[in-house]
Parts: sequence; structure tokens; C-alpha cells
Amino acid sequence: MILSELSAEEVRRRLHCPGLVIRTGPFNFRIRSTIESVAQGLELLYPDYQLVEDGQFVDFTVTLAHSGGLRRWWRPQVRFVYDGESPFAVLPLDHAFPLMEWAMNWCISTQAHHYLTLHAAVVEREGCAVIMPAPPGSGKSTLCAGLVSRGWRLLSDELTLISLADGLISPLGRPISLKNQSLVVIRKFVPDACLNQVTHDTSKGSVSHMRVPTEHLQGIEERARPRWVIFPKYVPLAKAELAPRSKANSMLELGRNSFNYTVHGLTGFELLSDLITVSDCYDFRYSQLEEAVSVFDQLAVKERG
Amino acid sequence: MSENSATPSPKAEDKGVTLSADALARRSLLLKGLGRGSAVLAATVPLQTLAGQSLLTFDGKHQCSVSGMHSGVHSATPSNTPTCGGYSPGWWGQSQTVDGKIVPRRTWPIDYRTKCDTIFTRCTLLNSNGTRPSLFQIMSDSRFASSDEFHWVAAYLNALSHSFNFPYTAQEVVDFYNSPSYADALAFFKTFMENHT
Amino acid sequence: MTWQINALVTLHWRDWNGEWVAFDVGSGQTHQMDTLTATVLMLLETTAASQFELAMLTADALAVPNDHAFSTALSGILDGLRAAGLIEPLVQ
Repeated sequence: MILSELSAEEVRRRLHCPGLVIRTGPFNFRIRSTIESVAQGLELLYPDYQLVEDGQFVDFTVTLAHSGGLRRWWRPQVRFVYDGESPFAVLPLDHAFPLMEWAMNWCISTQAHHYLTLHAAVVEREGCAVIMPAPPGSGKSTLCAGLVSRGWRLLSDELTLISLADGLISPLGRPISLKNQSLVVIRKFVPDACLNQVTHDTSKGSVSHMRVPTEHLQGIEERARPRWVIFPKYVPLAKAELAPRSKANSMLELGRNSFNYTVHGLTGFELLSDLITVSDCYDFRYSQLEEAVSVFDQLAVKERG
Repeated sequence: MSENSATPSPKAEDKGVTLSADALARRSLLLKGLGRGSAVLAATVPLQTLAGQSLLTFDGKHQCSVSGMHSGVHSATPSNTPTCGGYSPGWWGQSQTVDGKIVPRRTWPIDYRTKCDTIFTRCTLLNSNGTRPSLFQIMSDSRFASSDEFHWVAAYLNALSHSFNFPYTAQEVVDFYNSPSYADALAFFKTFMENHT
Repeated sequence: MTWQINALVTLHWRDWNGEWVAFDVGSGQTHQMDTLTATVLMLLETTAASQFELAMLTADALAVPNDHAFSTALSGILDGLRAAGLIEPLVQ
């Protein structure tokens, strides 16, 4: 059963108690909240996601609760509760849906140590994955959304999950986070993109999330092998261009962008080294999204031979 | 023993070298497979190190990186994880007089006379006499204290000196300076990486 | 001064076209270095040596002249490796 098969009333009933249990990639999340924007966001962005049957194992329970006391009514706030603790500072109530997304990422990045997890977007074409680590402002999410809208399959826009057993990458397939100028760019590039309401004044600025194309969810079990590591950088007026990048330097940068490389010790080192060995590494500058997508398409054509 | 002595050094087993025979054999193979010739000498890069554990900013609330500072959420409680940081611009700018010349009081990891705009190429600051300021002049002359370069140079020096688990290399600092992440990176360095005075 | 690998260091190596990375199990640190630095470190893994001996061994391993410039580069490399905690003076 998928979420869209539930009535609006049933979605809210389950969110209230005992929690709406939904599968996202390899993880089962239980979401609990009485906050309306959370329900609306889930209905809009997760309609085609599988619900999890009663009795199946739940990896993480994410609760988004109203703050107590006066704050329930005066400048109301939301807090994320996990295992009885609130790991994050409280936020304004209208930040509830982005908080849910950040909380889900936090659960995976801090606890799913059966993967080597990178802070990087990853998309796939014909079984080959492009890993794109990048700091804020690099245009990674805009590029990711653009690629996903032009035939590349989304594995994740934030967390690259690398299997410790065989080095393959598992899809997470959750909505793509967009902020500030990237919202403007993607609305133009993908006029029929389904975007959630924009949340303003977050610490990242104005943020929204883009729904993942349904066909990407149908292949949610299909893993991909790493083939390229590309460090994107949005540079105004720049021609879209790949420049070969040092493998050793790329490896260290992936380590820096990993949530748990240091947890895994030698295993993490061997895994990342193997990944770098099989991947071509590049810096990528771009300013026009269409041109950028074309460069990536050329990579896939060349790989096909 | 002098550096130029021809007396052989003690053998491996006498010096407490603990590599197994298998590891020694593998090292020999690696050494046999090395590149040769002057091209090897031309391709030198400074040693770079990725820390063995996660680092937090000095307040314990943020991951020690430009992106960590900019996470959508902030940690509610500090932890015991080691922290990162750096020397303040004022620390680097302390001066003394030697042979009638004003020079840094601190040990600098780079020639202090290096011109600022050779590293930070967008720097347009000038001394009162119209000349291009050196890195040390940026750090020590109060006229530059409110400039962005005052903080960029401090970050660069902290990176070169590997002080206090500074999380970036000198080249990465320069890359941030030249990137769209300029403002985020500058805020990170000013807020969290100048905590040692 | 005779140099040796730090007693707590155990290194695992990978390389790609003359670029080297080494993982130190003892500290959990990962180091990126060039061929010259890697050669010095690998030689010190197999035997302690003075800078003079290292210069001879390294120059021979890399088929480069053991001249003043090479010696200066080696000196800088030893400083860097010591600062990173990978090597230490041998106490005899």
C-alpha cells in the first residue's frame, strides 16, 4: 500500500498515533506529529512511497511536537524528539516540515553505520553513479534537481549510502531540498515540478522540497556502482566544463564530507580508496543548467561506448 | 652521530621496527613500483591530513566546517568531541623591533613579507604610501583591521600552521576566498576560527 | 639525528599515478602525500636512518640526483612528517 491510498483523515490519525510508518530507500521511518504542515508535506511529496505493515521493523521514530507552555500558542515552536531527547534547538512552528527532513537525515547520518555515508548528492544513469560532494552555495542541489528532471535517476540529494559489503550505492529517494536562488532556477527549468510550500527565514534561508518522479521510486531497490566523483561549483557566466581532479585529493575530500568515515577506521579507508580507484574524479564549473546537464549526458554516452 | 657520517645506522631489528616479514615484503614491492626520475620531484605537494575523529567548533554546537556551521539545525547540547579553532588576527599581527625593523613576534609559517594580493588576488588594499601591503602589514596595521582580508590572512596562516585542528588547508582557504561560498566561509572563520588570542 | 617511524604508527597505503594516501591505524588519520614523501616514509617503515642515509636511499629508489636541492626538499619533508607525528628521532 502507498501513502496516497490513505484518506486525509487516516493520514492524520496515523501521524497522531501510533505514527505513520513509511519506507524511504532502505529505511523504515515512523513519523509522529499533530502538526498540520507535516501531514500536508507528506501527502504532497510522499504519495507514492510504500507504507510499512504493522509488526515490521522500524529503523527510526521521528516525532515533531509542539513546544509546551506558552510557546504552544504564542510564536509557536516545533521540536524534534528522538528516543525521548531533543537533539536540536527548537524552531518556529512553520519550519516543521523542513525539520522533519533534516531530522530524518540526522537519524541516518548519525546511526546508519552499516553504510559509509557521505554528505553528497548522487544520481545514476544505466547503473553508473555520479557522486557530488559540495559545500553550501556550490549549486549541488540545483544541479541534482536539474539532472533528475532530465533522465538521471535520483539516488539522493544529501546522503550517499555506500555498502560496507560491496561498495555499491543504495538509493534513498527522498524529496530534493532546494533553497533560495535554486528555487527560482528550478521553477523555470522544470515548470511542472511539484514543490512544497516555501519555508522562509530558516538558517539556510528560504527552503522547499521537490517531489521525486514516481518512476524513480519504482527502482528504489536498484543499487548503483560508483563511476564518477564530481565536485560542482556554480560560477556566474562560466562555461560548463569538467577538469580532471587529483584522485588522492578527491579521496580526502570525500572523507571530509563523510559523516562516519572516522567511525569505520581502516574499513572506511579501504572502501573509499576502492571507490576512488574505480571513479573518474573531476571539478565541474557551470552557470547554465541545460549546458551542465548536457556535459553529464556526454559522460554517460562515453561510458556506454 | 653527525648528519654526514658514513657509519651505517643500526639494523631494523635493533631499532625496534615492528613490521612483520609480510609487511616488509609488501613495502619492498611498493618501493619497487615507484615512479622514477625528475618528474617525481616536480610533483611534490605538502602533506595533507584528514583528522582521525570528528571535530566541533569551540562552543561544541557545530561541525567544524563551513557547511557544518550552515546546517539547518543546531545541536541542543555540547559534547566531549574535540574542538577546532585558530589564532586571532591580532595574535598573528603582534610585532617586535629587530635591528630597527618591525617584524612579527610570532613564528610565521610563510615569509611575512609576501604581498597579500599574491595570495588573495582580489585584494585591493593599499598602504598609506600607495604600496601593496604584505601579509604582515595586513595583520599588524590597524588601518586594515576592518577589512575582510584581515580575517582571510589569519585563516590562511592558521591553515599553514595546522594550529588547533584547523579544518582546512591553505589552498582550501584560498579556494573559499575565490568561490561563491566567500561570505559563508568568512563568517565561519571570523566566528569560530579566531578563538585563541 | 637518526629518524624512525613513530612506534604507534601502522600504515596502510594506496596510490594512484604517483599520488599516495596512507591510513594510520593508531591515530585514525589519513594522509595524502607525493611520491617523494611516501618513499621517505616507506623507507623509514623498513629501517631507521639518518637524513644522510635517507637521501642516498631515496635518491637511489627514485633515480634522481642526490644534490643540494634534493637534500633541502628532504629536510622539509622530515619536518612535515615529524609535525604530523609520523616519525620521531631514534633515541639510542
